[in-house]
Amino acid sequence: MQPEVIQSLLQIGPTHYLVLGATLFSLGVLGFLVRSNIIVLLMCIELMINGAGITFITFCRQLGSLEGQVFVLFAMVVAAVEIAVGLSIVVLVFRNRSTLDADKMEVLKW
Amino acid sequence: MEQIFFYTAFAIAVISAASVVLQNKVMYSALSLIITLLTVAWIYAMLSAPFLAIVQVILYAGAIMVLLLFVVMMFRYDETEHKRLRPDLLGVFSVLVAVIFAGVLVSLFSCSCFENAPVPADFGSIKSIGSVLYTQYLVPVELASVLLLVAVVGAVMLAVKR
Repeated sequence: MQPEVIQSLLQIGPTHYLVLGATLFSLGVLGFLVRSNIIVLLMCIELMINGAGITFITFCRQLGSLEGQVFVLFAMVVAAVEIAVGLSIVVLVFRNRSTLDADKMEVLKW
Repeated sequence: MEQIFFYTAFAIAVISAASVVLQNKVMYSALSLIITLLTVAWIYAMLSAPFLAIVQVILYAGAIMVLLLFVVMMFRYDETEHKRLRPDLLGVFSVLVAVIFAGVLVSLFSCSCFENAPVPADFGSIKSIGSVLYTQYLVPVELASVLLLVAVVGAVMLAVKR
């Protein structure tokens, strides 16, 4: 490998953290698109929120302002709310239709 | 030193996140997600956000995942074990997500403007976050508490048997 490539890999900067955030977000998107279990879909949303959170924290460190950390705090609150309501909806759906498969829930489809 | 910590965290986070997506059983996915969330807390600590790292462990990896695991354990085993992935969708969506991800990588590495900025010593401490949270962001904090109240009432409303 080129020396400057090795140098840029060894010098940990904001770009490395941004790549990690993008990777987590992409994996969350991929899981959301290909899985069919509703609970796993909720978990993939959590993955996406965390990828976005890493990006927020990286830029907030980079810019030296605390707004990003406050935003991630609010994102955690919203994630907790989303999981609580989402899981009770999952329980309700399972009680009515006896399945957790998102592909089998097609009442609202056309 | 930072390199070792970062690349270890990177490897653990990516492997466990991939495991969330690829695991056959929902319980294994949930346990992998706990590992991912703890690694994200580690990353927060490395990015001088110690308060958020602690909140991530307590609230995310603790409270939210306990709730999720309780619900996973409420279902029968054969309901939580599904055909894992849809092979017809997997190819198309993998390519799509890979293209978007590659675009993000190219745009990140083509921009050389990112340098580590020096931060003050108490950056991200509870005191500094609290002073921002309860002065500048007072109204959003109150709205968040209303949101939590609505969520509690809504979850009970949905779960109650009629």
